[in-house]
Amino acid sequence: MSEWPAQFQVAKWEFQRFVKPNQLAVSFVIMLLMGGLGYGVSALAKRSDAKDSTVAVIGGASLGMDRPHSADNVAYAPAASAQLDSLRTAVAARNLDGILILDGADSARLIVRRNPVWKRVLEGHLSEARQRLRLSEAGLAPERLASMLAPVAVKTEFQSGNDGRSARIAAFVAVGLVLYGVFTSMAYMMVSVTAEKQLRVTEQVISAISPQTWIDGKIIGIAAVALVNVLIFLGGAAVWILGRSIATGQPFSMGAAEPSTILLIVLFALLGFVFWLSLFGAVAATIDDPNTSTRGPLMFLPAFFSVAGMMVPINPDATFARIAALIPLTSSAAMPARVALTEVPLWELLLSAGLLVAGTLLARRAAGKVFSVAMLMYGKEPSWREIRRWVRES
Amino acid sequence: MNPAITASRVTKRFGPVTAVDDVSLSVGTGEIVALLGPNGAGKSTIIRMIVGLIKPDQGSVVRAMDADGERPRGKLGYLPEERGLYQDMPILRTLTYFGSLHGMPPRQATEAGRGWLSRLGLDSRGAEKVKALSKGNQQKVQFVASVLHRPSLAILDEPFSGLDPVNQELFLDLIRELRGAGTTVIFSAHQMTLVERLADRVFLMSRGREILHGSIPELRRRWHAGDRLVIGTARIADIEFLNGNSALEAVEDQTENELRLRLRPGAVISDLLRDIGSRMEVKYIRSEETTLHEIYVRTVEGDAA
Repeated sequence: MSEWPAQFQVAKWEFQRFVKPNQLAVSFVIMLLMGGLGYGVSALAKRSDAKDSTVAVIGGASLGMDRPHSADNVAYAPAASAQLDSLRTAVAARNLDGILILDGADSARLIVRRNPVWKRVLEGHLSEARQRLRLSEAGLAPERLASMLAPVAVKTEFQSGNDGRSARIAAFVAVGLVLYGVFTSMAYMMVSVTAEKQLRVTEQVISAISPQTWIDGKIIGIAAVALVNVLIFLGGAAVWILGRSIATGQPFSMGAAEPSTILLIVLFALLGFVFWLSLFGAVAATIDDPNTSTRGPLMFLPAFFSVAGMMVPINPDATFARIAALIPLTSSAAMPARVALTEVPLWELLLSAGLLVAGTLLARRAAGKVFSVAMLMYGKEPSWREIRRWVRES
Repeated sequence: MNPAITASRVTKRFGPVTAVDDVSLSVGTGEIVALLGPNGAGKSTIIRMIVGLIKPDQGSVVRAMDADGERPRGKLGYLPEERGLYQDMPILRTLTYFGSLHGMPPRQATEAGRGWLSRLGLDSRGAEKVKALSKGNQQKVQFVASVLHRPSLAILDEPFSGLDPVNQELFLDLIRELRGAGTTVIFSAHQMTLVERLADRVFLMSRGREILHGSIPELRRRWHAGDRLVIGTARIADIEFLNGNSALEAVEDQTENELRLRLRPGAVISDLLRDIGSRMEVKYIRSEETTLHEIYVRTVEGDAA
């Protein structure tokens, strides 16, 4: 007899257990509020960044900094050494951000309340000024000097017709959604299985269907719950972007990625859901009481996954990223990011997908075996040796 | 009668504890068989082996309904000793879910669930969450969840525990109805008066082993349990005259107004009644059969000794 009807019934049941329309509406509203909060904080941070830091410069003539000017959010105001005491008072009173005392072209002293974030910028400005001074001392004509110091104009031409910004957005969105979906679904799986053990419903269910059918249905149903959560997240983001677009008059856009990239991201995300849900279904089945369980360290297993998810977009062609995109524990987060950001050789893509499919099938099978025994154990948790034996038997 | 279940020399150990020790049991199709025994006797373990939740370490359990060693969906109904339902889900939806797991089309399961809830006086509460029900009503719902699909074999582990006398009567009727519809029933219980009224056969276990089995009349015969004679009088005088009466096995109890005599199995009591009538002012006479409760207690105590 086909197991699919029973798997479907279990999946539907799990979905109904966790997805309730009124709670979805509340989640959506919370998502909008959180988005608003994030937007507000971000706007506030940007506004704070826009304020110039003012630095009084004593002895600026030695580096040609004897006129007021500003660059990169640092404003330089020439001052006399006789003003030093009053300037120190101003720094202490927070009326001035710092005092720069130049002792010739090669050394300087900076007086501040504490180490400023703009110190590197200031050091860069001083280096530039000294470079300019030395070249000028070499007797170069002003035109030649200006030509030497002017940055080389580089005009970038993209074969794909865009600057890759949408790809980067797609990569970060993909990684974010996969991480969000996997962590959400793992939480649901833990709650689902441990509650069933504590509610003592397991024997009656297993008398009707096989444990493998049960966990398969749970994986499908809870993956669907995770997808709904991801869609709520996306829906909230869409509402925010639409609202901002209306407010600013800019055209509505959620970024774009090529359909093949989206397809690969979805494929890896779904396989990742199944892989992680299988592992956590098995782990949850071995927990007798979540309050006293010794299985706590296993909760850190997804840390590999999230680290890979967050690190790969920084340098998608690094060795770490390439390895992370192949290993089933991390590939469902790492490979979507690589696909969105860089050219992934076909063999790597196929190997990664193959390993993830094989890992998922293995995890599902092992989970079914562990689940079938552990779900009927009450009052004690199986030992690691027992779990190892069940996994081997699977 | 074709056997629905045949357990042959089954043994199950949990670490150093032998929960079931070389037990054989056969249940005929359409029978109601009661598994009896004190706590820890091994009843739930043998039930779990029959359901297929655990495998015996030795021996075999054969279910007639199995196809290629696999249990076909929808043929077995199981009410476990460990009770539990999804507390946050609606009652009718819970029944539909369990029915559909047993292979019923969801719509049919919902209709059947409605019918059962109506029968149990819970028809107006189908949309409520399970946790809104009392413990007894939750037990009714769980019972329904285990037999909604009309299984050919129902295994009920302590179906009467926690029920009030009215609901115990209701469950008696429901289980008889199941049998009437062709279902073989195996159940465990501690309520001997209910077992006596329901079971075709009983299977008594103690410390993992079978210590007695058969129909209740058979057990009475095998136990050599004679009937009792209860005699009410205005005042009991000297009963020395009863000594040596061939129909009498023992004087079980004696109060100021009542005498309880245990008779030898199959005894003719004409002489005994004549003697009593001539020496006492008899107000009433009543006969009593040996109860299953007595057989149970004496057998288990005998095994323990």
